[in-house]
Amino acid sequence: MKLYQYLLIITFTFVSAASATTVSHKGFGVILYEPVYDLILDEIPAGTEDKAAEVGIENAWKRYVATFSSDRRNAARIIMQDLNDKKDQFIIDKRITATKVDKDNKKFTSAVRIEIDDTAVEKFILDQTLKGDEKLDNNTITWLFITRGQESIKSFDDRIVRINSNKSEGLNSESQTYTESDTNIEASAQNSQNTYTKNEAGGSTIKKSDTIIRKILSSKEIDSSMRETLVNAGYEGYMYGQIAAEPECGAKKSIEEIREEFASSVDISSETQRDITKTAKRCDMNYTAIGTLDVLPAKISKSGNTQVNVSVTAQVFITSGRFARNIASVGPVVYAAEGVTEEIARFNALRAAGKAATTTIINQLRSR
Amino acid sequence: MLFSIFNKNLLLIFLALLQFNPVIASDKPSLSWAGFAFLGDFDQRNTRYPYTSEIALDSKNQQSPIDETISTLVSNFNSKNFQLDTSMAKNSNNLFAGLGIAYEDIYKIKTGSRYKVSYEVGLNFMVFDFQEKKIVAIYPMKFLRNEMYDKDPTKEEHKKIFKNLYTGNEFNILKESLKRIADVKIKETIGNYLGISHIEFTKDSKKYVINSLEIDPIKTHIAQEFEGLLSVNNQVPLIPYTKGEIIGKDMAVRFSDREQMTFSLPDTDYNISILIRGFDFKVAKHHYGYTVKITISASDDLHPRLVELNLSKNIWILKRGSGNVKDELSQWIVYKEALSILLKELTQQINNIDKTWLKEHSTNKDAALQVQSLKKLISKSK
Repeated sequence: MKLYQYLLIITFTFVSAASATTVSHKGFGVILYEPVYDLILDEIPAGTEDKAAEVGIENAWKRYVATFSSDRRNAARIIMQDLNDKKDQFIIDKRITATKVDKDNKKFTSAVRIEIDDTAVEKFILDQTLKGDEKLDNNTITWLFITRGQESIKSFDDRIVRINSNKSEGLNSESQTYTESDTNIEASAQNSQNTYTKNEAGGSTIKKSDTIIRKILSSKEIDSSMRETLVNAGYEGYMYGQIAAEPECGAKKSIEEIREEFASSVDISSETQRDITKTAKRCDMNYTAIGTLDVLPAKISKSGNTQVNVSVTAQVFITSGRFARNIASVGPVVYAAEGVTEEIARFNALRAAGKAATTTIINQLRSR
Repeated sequence: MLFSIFNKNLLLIFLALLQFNPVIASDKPSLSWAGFAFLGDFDQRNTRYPYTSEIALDSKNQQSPIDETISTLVSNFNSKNFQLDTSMAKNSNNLFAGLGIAYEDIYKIKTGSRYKVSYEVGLNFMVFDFQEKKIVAIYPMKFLRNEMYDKDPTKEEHKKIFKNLYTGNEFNILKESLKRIADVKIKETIGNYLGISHIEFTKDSKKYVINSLEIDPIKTHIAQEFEGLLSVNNQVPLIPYTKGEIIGKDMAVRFSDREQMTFSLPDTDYNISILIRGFDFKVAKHHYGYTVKITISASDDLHPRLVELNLSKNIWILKRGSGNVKDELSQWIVYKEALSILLKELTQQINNIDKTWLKEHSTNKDAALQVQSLKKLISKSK
């Protein structure tokens, strides 16, 4: 139908344009005024409402800044004054929602709502916090992110062991009988005397973790979203596949071998990690990011859409020195996204996770 | 050869037409038409809009009867305030419009040997920003059609009525929706927003609501009815009340071609609450009197009690038309009718204050001032 066609056209139209995310926040501004007397009536001086609105905008902006994640706040710390001074660039709409006059206390209050271009703020922070050495072209970064899905999950029933014991004490002879099956052990005791009787009940439950067989999925969504975010932040980004394919970089393991390793185990071996960081160093990469995105099974959300969650874990190494040093890490953090189909939901979740993980990495690099 | 020249000429004429196709300049805002939609959790369609969903999702035809009707209506849409485009040609601001169903209801009352059945449909005209996935404005509308039956109507008869409401010529709610919205100056940008935030029954008034009916759906229904009347009579968009439609600050919208999207809703700046204070029953020689008492409250960010307006309405019904007074359901329907009339008259008062009406229906001495305050909130939300 119509909408589907529109969506396609819009997708093409905006495919290269970064979509803006706006957020709105409210603030209150209070101004104490000196009344102007017009005959016998005391009037509020002209401009009081504007002044109160300005204070309201200032407070709404403060509320917005207070919502920054710790990574973003740390990265923005050194440029916060500059960001605050330039806030008008990022406020795309401001509206007074209510005003109140307290004539007894000569107080004028304005409630203001502002709409902020959060994407532009993010870009500003990333641009302004480029480190000195990064500005001198020492801003190369390579990344290897593996996307894994769950091919199959083997779940095990709990192994439950119950023991019921009935003991009587007091005399010399005591006999106990036990019966045991696969999941149940029963014990009983009999005694010839009736002096003392004790009942005991117990057991144990053994839970065995699910065995998950993973499959490697395409990483093109995260690669493109990482590249976009890194380029916007002023980095020169290379996918690790490009580096590993260059003979002069001397990679011992091919990208396919590394992917296989990620598929068969939770994490890669320290030997593989060392190979990646050494390869990156040999080809003058200042930073190397290694991570996994685990796509969790899809479910139907309350809105009726399919929802996919993606769990992200990543580590960033500085590879310019003699030894690679871990300087930043992400997660595990779960990102969720919805879509009409599972494929669209997964695409959306991977893009969101890729963008968020890269932003966190950059913010951590900037706040070092 | 001749054929090839002829073809070439045709191509040139076609290109020339493309080149010089006149563009009609217009200052009217343009909205791209997105289609008919289901609002809220689509899994709840069997309780929220069973007949409409059955008609709209009729898979026998490529296009559902509802889509077919609305496509024709949109192509012929004419408004002095805005345009509805069925093409993407000049939609520079990404604004889309759609008509969504929020709910449908059937009320049945037995009067003598006959059945009076009311069919109610709540439709929302939505304006949304596709790029930002945000709702810009929602104009709720409510439609009611009454039918008399000699015997208890079947499901098939209900479906026939609903289908007529959507596709018939007599009282077509799609046509009526577009007719109503054509007169509205559409809100094109994010602004200040009004919404019904709360509705409550006092303990005393709850007694009148039949036990078999759950109170929450009734509250939702009244709030939706009020926002529909408020919107239509004052041409103001509102943030919808329904809990099922909104999850957090998001609203799920599923178009009848199965495209599903989630849009974020703005926060309300102005909130209206309804308190149902009580009901009264009066007996006259030939009539029964049904009274409803309510309080309408409104607040903004700085005034939690900007409006607190007590209102009441009594309707006199011929005894023989009131149904069985011992039948709780039929009596509740009459009380509900009194409430609907009161809400309708109040929303009309906001636009055109009549002090005599206020004196008759409100105990507040400053009722006119309070209605004026409501009017100001509505003006700020347009």
